[in-house]
Amino acid sequence: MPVGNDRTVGLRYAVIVAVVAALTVLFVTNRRYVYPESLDKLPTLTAAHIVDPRYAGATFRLEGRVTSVRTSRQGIVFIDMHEPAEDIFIDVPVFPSLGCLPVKPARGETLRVTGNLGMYSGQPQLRPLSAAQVELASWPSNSVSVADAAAQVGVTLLVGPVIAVDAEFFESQAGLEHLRLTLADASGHVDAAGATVAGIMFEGEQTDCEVDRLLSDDPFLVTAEVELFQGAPSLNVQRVLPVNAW
Amino acid sequence: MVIVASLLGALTGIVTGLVPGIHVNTVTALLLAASASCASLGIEYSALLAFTCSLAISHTFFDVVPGLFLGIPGDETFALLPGHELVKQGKGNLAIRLSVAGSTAGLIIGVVIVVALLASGNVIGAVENAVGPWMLWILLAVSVLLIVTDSPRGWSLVVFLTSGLLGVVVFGTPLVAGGSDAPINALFPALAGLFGVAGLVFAIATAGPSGERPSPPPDESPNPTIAAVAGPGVRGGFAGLVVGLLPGLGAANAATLLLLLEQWFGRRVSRDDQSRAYLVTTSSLNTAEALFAIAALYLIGRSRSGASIAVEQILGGIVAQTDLLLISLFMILAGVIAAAILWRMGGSVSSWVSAADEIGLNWSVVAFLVVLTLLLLGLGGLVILVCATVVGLVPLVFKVRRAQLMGFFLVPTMLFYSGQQGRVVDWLSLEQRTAPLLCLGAQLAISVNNCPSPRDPRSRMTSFKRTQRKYVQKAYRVRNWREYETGLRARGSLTVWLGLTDGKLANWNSPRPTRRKPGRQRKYSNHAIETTVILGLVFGLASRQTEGFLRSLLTLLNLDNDVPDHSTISRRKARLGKVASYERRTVKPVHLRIDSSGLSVHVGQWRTPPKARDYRKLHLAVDEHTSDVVACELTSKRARDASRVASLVGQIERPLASAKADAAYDTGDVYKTLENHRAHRSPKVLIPPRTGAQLALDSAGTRQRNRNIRARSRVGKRKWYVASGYSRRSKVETTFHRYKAILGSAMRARGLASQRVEVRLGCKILNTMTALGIPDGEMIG
Repeated sequence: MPVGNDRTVGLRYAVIVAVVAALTVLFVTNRRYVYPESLDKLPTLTAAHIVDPRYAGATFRLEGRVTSVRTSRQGIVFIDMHEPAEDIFIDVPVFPSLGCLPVKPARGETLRVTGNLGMYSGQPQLRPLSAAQVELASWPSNSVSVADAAAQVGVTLLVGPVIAVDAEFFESQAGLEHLRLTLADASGHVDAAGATVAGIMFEGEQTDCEVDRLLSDDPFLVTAEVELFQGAPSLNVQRVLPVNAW
Repeated sequence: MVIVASLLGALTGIVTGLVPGIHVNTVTALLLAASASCASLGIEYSALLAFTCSLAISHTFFDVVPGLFLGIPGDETFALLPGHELVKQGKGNLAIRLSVAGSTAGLIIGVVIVVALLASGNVIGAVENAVGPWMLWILLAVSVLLIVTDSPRGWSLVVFLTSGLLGVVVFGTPLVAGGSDAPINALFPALAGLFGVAGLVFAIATAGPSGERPSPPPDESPNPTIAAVAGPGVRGGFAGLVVGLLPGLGAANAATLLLLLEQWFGRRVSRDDQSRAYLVTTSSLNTAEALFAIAALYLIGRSRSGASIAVEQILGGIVAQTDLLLISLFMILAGVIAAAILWRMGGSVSSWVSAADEIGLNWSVVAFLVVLTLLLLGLGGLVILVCATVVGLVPLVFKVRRAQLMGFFLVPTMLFYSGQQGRVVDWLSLEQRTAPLLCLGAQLAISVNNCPSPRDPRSRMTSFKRTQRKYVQKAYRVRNWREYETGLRARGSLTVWLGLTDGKLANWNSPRPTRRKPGRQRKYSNHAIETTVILGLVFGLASRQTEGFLRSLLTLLNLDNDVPDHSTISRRKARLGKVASYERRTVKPVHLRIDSSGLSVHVGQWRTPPKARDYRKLHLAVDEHTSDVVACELTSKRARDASRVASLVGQIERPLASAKADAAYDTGDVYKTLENHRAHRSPKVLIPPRTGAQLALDSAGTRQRNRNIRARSRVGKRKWYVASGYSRRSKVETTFHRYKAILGSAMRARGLASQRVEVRLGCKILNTMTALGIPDGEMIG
């Protein structure tokens, strides 16, 4: 509690109120910020843009194939992309300050990125404006329910919205830490026959964000390959997505 | 022009130092905005560099003056600046001279350290790699120490966390278009608000009636002695090195830490001496930090201050060693100018500053910063300026150290190094959202970028002319001259080549055969023959000369060993077979460089020129890091280079980290051989594709070749050579040069078997000489 003479105390209370107000203004501005629709009309990155210094720092869109993905110890996700039409190879670094990526890109997938063009160590980079500006271009058209997924063995599907009714880490014989799951339709009844399905997420497939998402109470989507394990259908979960990512 | 720019920078730094609230970052932001016009006016990058560096240094000499004289405190808020005590005692001029001496010491120590670091190789890089995993704990320890030693601790923690929260929010704000990629970004209003406007506003709000400020009595103190300045100056210089290179820390943190350490471990000195030492230390630290923050661009490849960001942009992101030396030169020049002016005119400067209308000056600076922010960044920038100012007022109002405001940088940096930043920003919904920087509508920002830096690699790429670069003679400097010189001397040492053990020749005679063989028993061991041949090769002796040389040598050494005669040497040499040319000194994966070259051979007297000239092909595989020849083979001149890769790689026991070879090796088999060698991990293969090379279907064997084809076609051959690191293949060319310079470009042996032994022993000699010492050179121009 501020102490001192009347003038100082008044000043201190005023500063405390002002700090709270200032941080709230900044926080709300960040949260409420909506990207303009004109973002869709941004120019597509070309080889000429990369070479021309006038476009350094400007925002572009790029759709290309992911050639590699790696994550640094500090949590920076480095995505290498190739745009076949212009034959552009470019790095897309996703810094942890952007938050968790809604979609974990995988090699070979087509990705759409909106970001600022920059250079790092002489190599061109496209730095995404936000995590939401890294989006999958080749997205499954429909998600299926747990019951429908269980009937399609051997197929990779988008399943959900689901919730994890049971999840536990276990150590495999090879010493790896896998995640064993039981998934249920978010809207269905857990007790109903066929409404749950077992699943597994292997070590190396999981990111911290995905595990957090999976263990939360909120519904989510998964992309998974349906397999048979001990005679029963089981989902080999590859990716955990927020519902709004779809 | 460079000298004029340097002088101008020094004078500008003097002005920014004298005017409270104006920081170097403010001027560098304006400089970047005006750089487009600079390019059109024909101002060279070196002039901009000189201006920025001189500005950064001269500012640190003068920025102590307004703190000393304008804000002579009436309460204990400013007790952290012991220089005020000297001013109160009427020793203002002494305070200025102590500060000048400290800054000069910081500059001298800084330049000496930079030169020493340049001479000692990449020491800082190695230290950074070692410290990297501990960075979070180092920063956390510093932060905790700063907080717990402050009073009241609760409010210190609040200030630290609040400024940290502000940092996280500002780094991710969409209020300024382009985020941190924009040349003038949200950092400018945030720092101006936290450290500039807040102090000015507080000074205005708490100023007493006009005339209340005490005027200091005339100063008649003697000048500070070198002995009084040396110790604190050196401490400040080294502290400047630490904070200049570490992320998140500033001069304020280091000054506070130094003060604490001196209080804990230092001898008990009078309060007056302590004030003097503190003033010298902080001034030295401030100047050294300004220097090292720019030197960090070269030493660790990262920018650490507003001035270093400006320098990075001016140099196009690539800082060479010559640039750093040039920067040091500019800084010394600016330091000399600033020190001379402040030392001689300190009394006048202090009286001018004391006589200034403090309130009016403060209002003017606040108005200037507000207008500048509005012009450069619009309303969004103004919002950040106001918010940062409010946060910057907290330590002043609650009377805690302003160094706690460095939480603005420390908290986001610690979050980053913790590896949990993604989770934390998700949990607090503080995800970064950068507003797009549209090509139209952000004219100012774009106009900044319209000025391609003269050192921008892209502008170099477009104006690149092959002939301009290829034939330029480059100058090199040997960094390890002493070791190299010792190695050169050791190359002539007989003990190195003779392999004496306890003064005797070991394994000289052939061991008794374990089972009977037809014919006479061998008298000399393979080792003896090998040693004899090596002596001949090293000292350039023919067979008979070698025999005579060795005989006389053994006589002088009083050794009774027999010496093989020349015909025995010649005959037995061919039967030595696959002598080991390489002695493994490391188990690390090999960075392989492969090439071939011709060695001329004697072909007999019956051929007439030009047929009398013939050659064999020597294939070498060299480790880029150790410069050792790890595999070699001699073939006929008709053997294709690519066909020998399997044989060369087969001689290597270690896994491959990378492989580079010229376009003659661009075949699928070479890629497959390199990929399959001790399949620890796929080595990175860089072979320039041949003209008209076509992409193959993606598979494990063709993936790297396809990548090379795409990359080279995208950026062009020359650019690809540099960008991919292929240019370092030249190490193998250097090895061939060394081979031919030391052992000659012609072989002595006549038969192929003897020639093969000769080249293997030649490679063994090269490796031995490499181990004795080779030059560690660097390009200096």
